[in-house]
Amino acid sequence: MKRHLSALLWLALGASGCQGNFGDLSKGGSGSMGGPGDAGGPGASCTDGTAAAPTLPPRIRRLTKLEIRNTVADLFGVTAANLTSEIEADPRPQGYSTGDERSVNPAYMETQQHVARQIAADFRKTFDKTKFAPSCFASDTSARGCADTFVRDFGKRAFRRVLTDVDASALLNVYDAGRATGTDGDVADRFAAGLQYTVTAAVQSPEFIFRSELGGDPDPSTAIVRMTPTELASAISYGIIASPPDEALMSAADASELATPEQLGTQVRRLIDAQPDRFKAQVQRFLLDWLGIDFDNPVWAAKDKTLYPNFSSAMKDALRQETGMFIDDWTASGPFLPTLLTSSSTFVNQANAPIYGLTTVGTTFQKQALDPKQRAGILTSPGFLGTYSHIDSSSPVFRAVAIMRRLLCREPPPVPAMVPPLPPISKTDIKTTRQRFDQHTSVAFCHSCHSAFDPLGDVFESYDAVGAYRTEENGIAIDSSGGIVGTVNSDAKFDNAVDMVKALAASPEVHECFARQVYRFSLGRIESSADQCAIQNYARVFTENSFDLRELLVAVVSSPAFAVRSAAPVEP
Amino acid sequence: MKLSISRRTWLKTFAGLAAAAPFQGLLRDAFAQTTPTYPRFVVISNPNGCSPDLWRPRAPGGGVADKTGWVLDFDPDSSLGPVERHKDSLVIIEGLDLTCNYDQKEVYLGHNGGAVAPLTGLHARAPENADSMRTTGPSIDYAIAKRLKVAPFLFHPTGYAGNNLLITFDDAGERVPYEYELRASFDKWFGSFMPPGTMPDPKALARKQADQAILDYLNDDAKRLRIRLAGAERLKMDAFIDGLNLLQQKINGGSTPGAGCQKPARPTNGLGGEQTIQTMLQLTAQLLACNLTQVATVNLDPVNGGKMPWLPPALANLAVHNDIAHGFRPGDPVSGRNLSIVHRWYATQVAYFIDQLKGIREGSGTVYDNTIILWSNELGDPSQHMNNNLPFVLAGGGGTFKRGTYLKFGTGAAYKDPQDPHSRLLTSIANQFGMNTMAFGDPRYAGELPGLT
Repeated sequence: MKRHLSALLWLALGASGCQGNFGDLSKGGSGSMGGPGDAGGPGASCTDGTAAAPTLPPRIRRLTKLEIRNTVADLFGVTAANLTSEIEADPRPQGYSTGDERSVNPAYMETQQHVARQIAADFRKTFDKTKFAPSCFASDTSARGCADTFVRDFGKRAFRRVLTDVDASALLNVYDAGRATGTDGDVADRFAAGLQYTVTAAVQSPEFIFRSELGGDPDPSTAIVRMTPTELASAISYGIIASPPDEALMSAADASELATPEQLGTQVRRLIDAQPDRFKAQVQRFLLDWLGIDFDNPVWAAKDKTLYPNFSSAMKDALRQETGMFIDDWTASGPFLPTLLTSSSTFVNQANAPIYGLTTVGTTFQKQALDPKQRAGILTSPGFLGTYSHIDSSSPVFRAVAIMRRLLCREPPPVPAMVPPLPPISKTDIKTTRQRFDQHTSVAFCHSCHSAFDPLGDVFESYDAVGAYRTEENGIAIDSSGGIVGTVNSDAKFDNAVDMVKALAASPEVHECFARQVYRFSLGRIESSADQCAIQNYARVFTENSFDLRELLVAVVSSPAFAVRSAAPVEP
Repeated sequence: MKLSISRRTWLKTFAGLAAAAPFQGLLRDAFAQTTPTYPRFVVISNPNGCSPDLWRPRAPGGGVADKTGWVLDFDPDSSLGPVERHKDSLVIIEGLDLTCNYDQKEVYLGHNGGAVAPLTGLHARAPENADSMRTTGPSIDYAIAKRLKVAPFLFHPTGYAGNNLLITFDDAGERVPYEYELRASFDKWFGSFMPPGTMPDPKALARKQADQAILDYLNDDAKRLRIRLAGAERLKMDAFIDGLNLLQQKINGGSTPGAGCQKPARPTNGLGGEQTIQTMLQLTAQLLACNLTQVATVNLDPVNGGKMPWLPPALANLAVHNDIAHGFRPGDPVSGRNLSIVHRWYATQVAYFIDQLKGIREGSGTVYDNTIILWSNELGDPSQHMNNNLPFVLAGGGGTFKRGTYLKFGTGAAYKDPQDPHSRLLTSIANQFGMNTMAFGDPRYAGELPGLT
């Protein structure tokens, strides 16, 4: 069957098989999950206390879907999930939903208009006259006075800054027009109608949808600018708990108490303690983005029913919930990275029990200790493994590349232009998945690239396409030998995934890569070579604090990179 | 963009244009009181290239086709057979290359290159990683939608917003998210659609004025923020203001729905197969007929974990991409036929869409008469992820293209030697909408596509 290129052609291509180096430090351009950007090289020296030149420009950051939901909830005292559900999921070209490239488009604006109208209609329906002084309802004139008060108070919380007179009078123009839609002669109804339109306008405003990192006037000689205190309050609050700044943070901003690393660290820790549910949701968003675990990926909807008869959409939903509960539990019990990567406990009910070979009954999830020889941490979870699979087989390559990019911050080389197809699953020549990929090792042209990452995925051959553990495939014993490759100090062979993930959890390169990923999520951009020093500092603090995510966040928020921007023009 | 083209090239480029078509729009814009009417623009896209021998037209006797008078249904498995009945309105274009993906020593190929370049005429920012799916300018559907001041209908039926093969890009070269759930799209576009003749409401004027007040407020707010921004950040406010312009159109009343406009039934959701695709195409046709938009980009991915169970049994369990497209070998009849069978299914959907449009009356003709359809792809030879010799088809009666034509450009197989920039096709299309541009996309390739008009 003419399925492969002739061996001769492959040999001829062998020399050019693998273009580029992996995680190439000399290549320009940005990475996504992997790649250290254009790094200064592994030997770049790093002195503590050196204020590196800021690398980010003054910019505006579009609130994420989660941030808008929380802002609406805080503003109106409602559960906002339904009101904001139609907002599009955040696109992630740089890997994270917090990316700073996110802008608006016509569809987004139309959705936002619809969402704003819904929120305002809800506000009007639940309008409570007792929240206003009776004098407000004496006449249109007195009502307008109360509207002015409302606009300044509501506007301050909606835009996360004090309104100027220009802001307030602009919103009052909307109030005047909206008032006319109320019942003629009914002061209270006209007042409510006016406020309804004002609210609609505010929730669509760019000052609501975006938050600014513009600072004041840049220093004329250095072009450096620092975020204003109120901008910084928003940056901290949205960064840590995806929420608008609370009273305490706004007061600290007003009192210029967001200046020193100690002050900033105090705020971060305070927010985490004060809003554990919001922090959990934010951490969950980060982890799912980081590892790319995605139950909405179509591969989950189409898992082969013959091969995986136990698997159903009910099980998929249970796995989605389990993943969320695993992450929340980790966050709540002290978010230390090694635990995330090695814990053998998870949450089981009757819907996901069969994946683990358990016979749990009942719909309530119970915390369950799993066999520690089979399961260790999130990388051996069905959520991760099933996402990085096909519908009818595991994928050692997908898993390898995921580990390489997301845990080691290295990029695989580009796929060459002429890749022969994977031989389809043959009914007569029975093989394991790994055996079907044997050309990755037996053919030099393939091996030259695949040796750089395949072993990272080979160890996960003990888990099938839905993440269930297996010791054999098609009657043949599973070979799960592989290991860590391509690192500076952590290369090692392992014959199973559990041992490998434990080694990853202990690897300084993984720790630094994790710090890098947290930087990307918090700052909304892939780091550049000038950030190397800062990243190494974050990694050091992380290590000194037993790999506590909270202290890593403190390090990021209190570093210059967080608040300082460079207004210098960017070279083309 | 600085273009360096010789005066001779400049003159040659415009010599071939019929009746200075791009300039007509300019004059109209300069002197007319009302906006000129442009056709609608629809992009239909499918992945995985084609099998050229069974895709290209043939002479009626079976030999090499001429520019006109060819047939498509020459074989029961021929790729374009299903659109034979529409062939008088088609332009079949063979041999165009994504030359923009070859830029000095970098190449931006494969699926990522094939997702970025076809509608933008630009290569990605980087050959790999995240920047391989971002570029530096807009796609033709986005640009035309902006010119027509409409929000485009963008739909990809995978049920997944994060699909990597979305092909629409905004002015900053960022991928624009697509809708992907039929019922949600119906609710969004048709939810508050009022058939003409509804009773007016006494407070309707007050509400319209209040909505206008909101828009005025948002405009002023955006402008005040905009002047504090620079570069890519400023583009965010530009996009915001553009979006406001569309909302403004809606307040102004927009265009009245055509005579054939009918609010469709609310679809049921559920992924997979022909039903999803045909429902999507019906919805698109009615969106256009009802003038709820004038631009749509839809993808024909059948969503079934990559399989097409309705195909003949030998192919039904194979994954279209991995097995059928990757298994294609030029010159191998079996793999070529398999790929053509898949393509024939795509062509059936396109024929269905054309039937829909032809079935909706409009003015003295049909909606089809006032539409330009670009049937696009991402690859040429799919097994090698080639970005040259992509199959393109133009359909619809809108615009001034010479219909019923087969244009064949160079079809050399050497992927390192692409010669026929597809971005000229985009330039031709852009100029049908009065954009009057020398080059849509890559500025290295000026001029319209020869032979189209």
